Amino acid sequence: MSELVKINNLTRSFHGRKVLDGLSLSVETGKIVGLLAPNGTGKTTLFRLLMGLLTEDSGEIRVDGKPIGKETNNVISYLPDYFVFDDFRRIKNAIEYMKEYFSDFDEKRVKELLEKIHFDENRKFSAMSKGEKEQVQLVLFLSRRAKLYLLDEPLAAVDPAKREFIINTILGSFGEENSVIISTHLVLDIEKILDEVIMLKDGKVCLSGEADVLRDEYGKKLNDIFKDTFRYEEGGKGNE
Amino acid sequence: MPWEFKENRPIFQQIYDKIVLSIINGTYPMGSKLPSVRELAEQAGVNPNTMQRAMANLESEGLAMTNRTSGRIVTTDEKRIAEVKLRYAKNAAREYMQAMELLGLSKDEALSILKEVDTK
Amino acid sequence: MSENSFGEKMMNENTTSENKEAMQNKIGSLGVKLALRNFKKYIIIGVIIPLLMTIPSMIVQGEWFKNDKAGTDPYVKYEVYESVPESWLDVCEEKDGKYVIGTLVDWPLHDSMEAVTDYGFIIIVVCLYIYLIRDVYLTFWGKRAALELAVPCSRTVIFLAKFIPAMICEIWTFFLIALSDCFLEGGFKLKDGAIAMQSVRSYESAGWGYMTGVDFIPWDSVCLHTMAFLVIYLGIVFLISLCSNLNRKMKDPAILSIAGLVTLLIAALSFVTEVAAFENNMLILMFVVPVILLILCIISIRRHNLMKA
Repeated sequence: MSELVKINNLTRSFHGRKVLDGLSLSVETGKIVGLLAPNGTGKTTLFRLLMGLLTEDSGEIRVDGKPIGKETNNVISYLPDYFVFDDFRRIKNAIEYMKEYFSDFDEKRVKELLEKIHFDENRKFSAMSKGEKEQVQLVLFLSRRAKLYLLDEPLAAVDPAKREFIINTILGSFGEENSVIISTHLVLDIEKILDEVIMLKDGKVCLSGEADVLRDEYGKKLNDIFKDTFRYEEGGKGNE
Repeated sequence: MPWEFKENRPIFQQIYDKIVLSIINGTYPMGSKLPSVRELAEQAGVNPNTMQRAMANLESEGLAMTNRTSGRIVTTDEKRIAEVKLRYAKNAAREYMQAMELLGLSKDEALSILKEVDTK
Repeated sequence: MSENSFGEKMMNENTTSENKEAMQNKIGSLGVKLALRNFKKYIIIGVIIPLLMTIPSMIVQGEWFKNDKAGTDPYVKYEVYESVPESWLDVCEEKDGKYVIGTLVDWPLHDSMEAVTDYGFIIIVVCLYIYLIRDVYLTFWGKRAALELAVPCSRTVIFLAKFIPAMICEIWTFFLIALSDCFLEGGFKLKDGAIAMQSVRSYESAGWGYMTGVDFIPWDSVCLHTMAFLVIYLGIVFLISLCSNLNRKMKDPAILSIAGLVTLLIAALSFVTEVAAFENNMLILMFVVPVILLILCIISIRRHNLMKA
């Protein structure tokens, strides 16, 4: 068990307002962690900082002991909460791209998964619904053998019947050598697979711990602990 | 089919309970090899870490042991299994009695209802 | 082979270090792969369509060819000027203090061909600008950032893999514009075994004037367009990058004001260096601002930010 993600006193402002304010956290290898907070409170910002899509104002971020850069990008698979393959015509074009530019992409796995959900790789993206596109995207990013998976709202666009498949796919990519951070405000569906939980409020960690320990301590579902924590918070709508 | 859980209690505990049940009722016979953590986690649709914790508990409770060559096997200690069975039975009974108490029924009334009711 | 607590067999140390080396090699050539991929993306609008746009001028060239007889060309009319013609970029020959310009007459298609070529290329160049700059924007600041910047490659390389193919396409297009301008203006001939361009700006008395080799292409026009492209492309990239860094602490109106000022500064500097370059006949001066912008772009792209937190 080593420290895969280490964040120390991270601050990031936007238009003069601090979105992340002295955030510190750490994630070990071999864990599925839930990053729980309402919308607009810094979850996506944190992921973007980990991916180098944003740079911090101050503080330290280390992934696998290294600073953010092309080496860390190589071991992180980031699933955004919107569809990124607009430029691509068919599923197989996206597969070719992933294969070409990500050395840890497992083509066999992606084909197995696509077969499970009955998606032919010749299907055009333009002929798919939003939920279907998100499913394919998830399958593509989870077919990378990455050390760290950052999943931004993986269940949001998918209907309840398909959520089990998503959860199983996540579990299938997960092992002792990697970690998954799932950022979501839909706690109910995902909580049973979480090892640990980190809740963000006012740009800092307000609650964190092992999922089962919290359940024991509070005698509640994580979803209910979440609701209690953010009860009077409307989610910072003004920050973007 | 993924197993069902009540998320307001620790999940590893619920997994543990389910496996113990399977041992007690013979689904996993004594001395038999348990599936690997990974396989069982996949079956149950849970995080392997949680499954691992449940399995570790099984070992610390003496219901399973890890053999270097053949993996994890269910104990052959009949007495131990009987002890655990009794404990679970008593817990279930205690819950029943608590529910009857809430309804304002006496212990005798509770017992007579018990005799009449079928398992469904 | 050892087992982890999930009951999985783990790979040996040996294979993982082999994989690491293969990975390093792959990262090195990623830049080239990306550049080729971008070039393929740009090829239709940046290479093929401009090429197609030279067809009208080639048709005109065909007409010059057909009527290639010294002094007996029924289609060409010569006008003599006493002073230098208006556009100082025109290549023009002079003898005895007189300037001569020839035009194709009685061939109504010539005007249409010229119009089609001129307007056509304007549209192509504008579309190309929009397409290329949009591509950079989407990759670095838009929807594709999450995918394209996740590639394990330095930002500088990703940017150069966009910029260089873009530059090649633009220079190619500018070259074709210059070439088709020539095609519209005069005929190619073979002189002493070399291809030469029959200049229509020649003396009546001396017959057809010849210029050999590639002198006939107005290279300074190509340079000017290239400089303009570099300033616009790199300038916009730099401005966006600047804004995305300023929006940590500042609000939009302040940022826009700064962006406006920087734009004016770049425009002013470019104009000044362009004029100086022409006056002193030092083409290199024209590229001072683009080079500075390129350096600024690379520096700001290295630690770039998305527009939204």
